[in-house]
Amino acid sequence: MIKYSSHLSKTLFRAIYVEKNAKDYEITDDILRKHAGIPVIFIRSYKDILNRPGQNPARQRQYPALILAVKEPPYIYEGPPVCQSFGTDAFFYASFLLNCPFDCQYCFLQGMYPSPYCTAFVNIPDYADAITAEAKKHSSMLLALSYDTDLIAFDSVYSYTGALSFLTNVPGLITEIRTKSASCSLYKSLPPSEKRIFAFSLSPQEMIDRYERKTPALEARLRAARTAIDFGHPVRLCFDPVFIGDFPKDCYDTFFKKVFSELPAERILDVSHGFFRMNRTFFRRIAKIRPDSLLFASDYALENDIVSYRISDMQQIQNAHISTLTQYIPKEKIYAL
Amino acid sequence: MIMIITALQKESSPLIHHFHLKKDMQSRAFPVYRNDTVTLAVAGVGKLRAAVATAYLLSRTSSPYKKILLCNVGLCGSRSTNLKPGSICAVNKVTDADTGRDYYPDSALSINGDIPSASLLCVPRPIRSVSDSLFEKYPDALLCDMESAGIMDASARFLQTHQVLILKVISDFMSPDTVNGQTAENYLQMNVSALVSLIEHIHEELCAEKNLPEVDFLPLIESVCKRFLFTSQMNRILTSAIRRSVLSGINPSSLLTPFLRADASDKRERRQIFDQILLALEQNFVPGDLR
Repeated sequence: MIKYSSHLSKTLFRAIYVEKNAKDYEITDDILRKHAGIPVIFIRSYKDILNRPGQNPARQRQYPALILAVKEPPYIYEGPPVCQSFGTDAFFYASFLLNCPFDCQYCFLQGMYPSPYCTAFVNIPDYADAITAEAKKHSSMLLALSYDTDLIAFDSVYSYTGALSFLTNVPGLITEIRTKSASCSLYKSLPPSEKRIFAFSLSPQEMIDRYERKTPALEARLRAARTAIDFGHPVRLCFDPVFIGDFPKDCYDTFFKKVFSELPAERILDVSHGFFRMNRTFFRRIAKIRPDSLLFASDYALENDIVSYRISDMQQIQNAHISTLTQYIPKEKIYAL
Repeated sequence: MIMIITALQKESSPLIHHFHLKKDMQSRAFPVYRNDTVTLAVAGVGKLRAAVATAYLLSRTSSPYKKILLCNVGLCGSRSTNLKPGSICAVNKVTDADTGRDYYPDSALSINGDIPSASLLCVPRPIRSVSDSLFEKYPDALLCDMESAGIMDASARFLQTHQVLILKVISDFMSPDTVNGQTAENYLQMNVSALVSLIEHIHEELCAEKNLPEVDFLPLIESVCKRFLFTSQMNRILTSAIRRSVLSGINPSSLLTPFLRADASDKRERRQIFDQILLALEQNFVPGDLR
């Protein structure tokens, strides 16, 4: 049964754009019923809204809208080399949502789409067929369901995580749902499965305050991760993106200590570690639309069209972080980029 | 700057009166009325005239485009019994019946309170029935006018999607012949306070948008670039470095000003000065011989 949180839903969007082909889907009905009173605007294609020229993302974040659309193939995409596949034969991701309810300053999505409006795809059965067919081609396949969004944060509008529960029955398929959400109820209601991993993106509170607008505090995320562990779900921790800058020197050490004092390290599936990095084109676009961001005004190294910190700096800091992390978790469980 | 386009003189009268606008005697193409913050043009009926008037106002203004709110205020027909004559409606989608093209003014999403928003069909001729064949193709359009598509199309060349506001006062249920000049003026007159309050609220939000961090230092950057004949690429790099300093909480003016006393006689020396400026901004420190 899909559940909603009416409190958030009522205040989340100023309008809902509905693609004409998306009108007859059950998800559309559910969402529109839940958001009765919010203006509904019918559109031909979600791209007519999302890709319009002359939009102002800052203003649109202030007055957000939701787009409901039907996804055309392809339904899943091969993961890029800058992401870990955690030892599986194949790594794919699916985009049920374009854009994200959160507003992280460093997010590459700002460079990908001209508008921050969330676009929710309503044709889940088409995705299911594509995922099942692809999984058959590999002995093991990792599918990131929340790769370029935060599906759990969207649960208050529509619970994709609940609707996609059936994926745990697809042979050879492991799904990963990455989140910054603090919601605990989901982990209590979903039956645990070793084939569905909940990955929690964690950052020191200093970074959350500076870069991760509208996201829950570290304490709240740790509480959610603890709930997921207690209810038997496999939990991955993602220390990604890691920043290098004018932060207190012991910022990350204190943070790692806090994380592993709140979470039982022996019950963590694995850990990923990666630095702030971004495609050069996206970086330039974001620097233009976020002129007030020091993150995008700073100087970085450019390697293979990826903007990031200097390799030597990253190496030094990563070694230090991994050395700290191995005090809590075996090295073979740490995946570093 | 608030710019208002109306189709008819009768529609504009209450706004001219409210804002105490004076006729611009220099304007020959359209009747234009203005004060220091508001400009109003009476375009005439039809999307072509509306587009020309929009381009006319926007290309003659000295206001920065980012601070302009362009409004279309006027009467329209309604197909919905929920949108009754005399009530105000914000338009969230405009469809041009001639081309089928859709426009989405984002400003409708920033309207708070009880003002409804709806989709509008911009038609080339007066519509005299709620079941006119034009609506078969566009069943979601609840309103109908003859200007807004021209305004949306022309304004897209100058402004962003949140800078255009289409506000309509409903005059009839697709029976335009029942509306005379006096009725039109009365409908606008009875809604003028609400219209003005909406326009001013959105305009205030627009003006509250942050300037670029380096905006206060642009004249100083200009002086430095002029003194040392910096290229436009060097100007861009310098501006980025100034932005970085400002965002890091450093006042770059104390770092830049000493360089205005330096001299450079050739390209090599100018390049050296440029490198020294960047270093000073990065390290928040001016070399001793320039202090």
